[in-house]
Amino acid sequence: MDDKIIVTNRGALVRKYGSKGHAAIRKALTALAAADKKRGIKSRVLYLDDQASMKKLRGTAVMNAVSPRENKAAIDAVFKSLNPDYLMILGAPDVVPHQDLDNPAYTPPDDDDRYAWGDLPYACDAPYSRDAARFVGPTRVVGRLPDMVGASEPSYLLGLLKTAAGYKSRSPDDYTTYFGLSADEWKGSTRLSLNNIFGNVNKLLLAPTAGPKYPGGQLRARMHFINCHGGPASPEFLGQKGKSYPTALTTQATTGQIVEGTVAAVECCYGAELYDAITLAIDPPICQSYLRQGAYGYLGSTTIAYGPADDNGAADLICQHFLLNLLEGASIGRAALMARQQFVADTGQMDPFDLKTLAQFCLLGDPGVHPVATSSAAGVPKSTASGEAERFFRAERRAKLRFAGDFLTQTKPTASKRAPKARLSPTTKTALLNVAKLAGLGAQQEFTAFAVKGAAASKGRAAKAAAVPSRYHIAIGTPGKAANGNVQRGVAVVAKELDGRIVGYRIYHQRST
Amino acid sequence: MTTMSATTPQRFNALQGRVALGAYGKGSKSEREAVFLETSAERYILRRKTGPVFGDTELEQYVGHQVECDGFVVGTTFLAERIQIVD
Repeated sequence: MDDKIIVTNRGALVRKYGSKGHAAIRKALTALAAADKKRGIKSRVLYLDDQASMKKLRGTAVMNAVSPRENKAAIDAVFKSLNPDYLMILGAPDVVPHQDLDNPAYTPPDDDDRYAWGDLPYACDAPYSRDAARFVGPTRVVGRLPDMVGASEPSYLLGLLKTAAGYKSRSPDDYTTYFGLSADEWKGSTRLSLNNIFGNVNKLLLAPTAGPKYPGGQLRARMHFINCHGGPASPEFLGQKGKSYPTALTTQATTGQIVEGTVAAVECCYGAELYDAITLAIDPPICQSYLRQGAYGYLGSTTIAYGPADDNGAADLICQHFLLNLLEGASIGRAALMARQQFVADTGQMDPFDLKTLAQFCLLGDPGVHPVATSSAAGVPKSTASGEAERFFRAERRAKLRFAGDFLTQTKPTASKRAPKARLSPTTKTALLNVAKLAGLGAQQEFTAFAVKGAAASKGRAAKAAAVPSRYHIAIGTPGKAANGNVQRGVAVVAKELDGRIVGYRIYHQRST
Repeated sequence: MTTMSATTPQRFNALQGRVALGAYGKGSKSEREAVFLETSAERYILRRKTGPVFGDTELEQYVGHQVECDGFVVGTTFLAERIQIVD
């Protein structure tokens, strides 16, 4: 029985690195398996494009390395046959692709991400689909150890494999201090997040004036929480104050500053985008700089991310859950799975922005790494091998996670599909107009309706009022007047409709001071 | 056809278009006033390849002008290596 399966694509690796480069990767994987064995983890490498191996699993080998559909089917076959406790995807998206989930919040030009790229479907039992609503119940522990997109020599990946093989768990004390960085405009939300995770905001840095360099060694803390702006194919995060967007952190500024064992949760748009820095001849992504320097885990977004103003939601929550789970001793893979489940469980219904958040956040790193060592309340008899005992406890944890994921799949209402245009009742129209006014939008603001699926129907006269809305209405617009001469900020509004009445709403926008 | 990701760079040389200002990413963590390159076929966010993501004052000189650019399209962004006013 294998505890950890490492999946990759031999053909893609050989095309990138040649036979010699692939042999070096293979050797590094053998060293990782040996290190895992010493920790009681049985690891195995599986090539998704290897016909013989996939046939043994009653699966189909991947023929087109960059096909999301083929890779999803192959990884599903791995889970059906082997049901590993950890699945590590080895390689960037040009080796094993991200899944191509449709972005439910796609409203160009305001949100021009046609797809919410990510690895969420690999963590779910549901078969390939582009509908994020099918993946609200993840059950699998999955992480990705990426190489560089477009690379032709494997030193970067070899370094990451060496880090994974040589990792060590540390005392919780090593993870109590943190690097907290926020755009000044979002300091209210970031303060809430840091208080929830660390119980204080002592280490919060605001950009401006912080960054891009941190000569005081602040980056050497092992826990990082970053809430800044980011952009596609960019090696920098930006702060904000008014119309000023100073550089808050760059790939170059992280060089030589990140210590081994660092774990980062990054809310920035595109904060975990694995762009092709080699073809573009620009600095590599910040996330890959972290990993190169020995970071154990990095949770971030592949695309445009969302969060509400002056409060916590969407990206804030999934990042908080991830770090909190790590502090309690979870592996980075389990911390990410639990964060996804907790985010879904705590959300009444998954509106289009919630679904995008769930789909776009990816874990980079070996999912089996446990950064924080914790003691267990359960004793193990001396006659029982510690590896066997840990396997038993891990199986118990996985069973609970499977139950939780299956429950979410069966019960969580979602709104990922646009509803057919239908006439709105005067009451609904008036209510939407009022919500638009509250958000500072004009009377002509258009709303798009999304049908809610998975809502339990009320039964019989005795049934209490339905708790699940029938539709969501979303609008993205810019308020007509900025108060006090401040910068005009757009807002994304989500309104819940229940039986023809608007019963609630949320407003997402950039945080204001 | 779906590729490995939307961010697979595509090289363009001598791409022509008009440069304009506009809102981008309303309600998201990317929201800002951005500079766009409007070609006959597409509308891209215009960035200098080595410039900042937001607030690149170097691009202001091109606003309102027809330009010719070399660079890469990455998703909906044009990362320019060369920009020349042609009107």
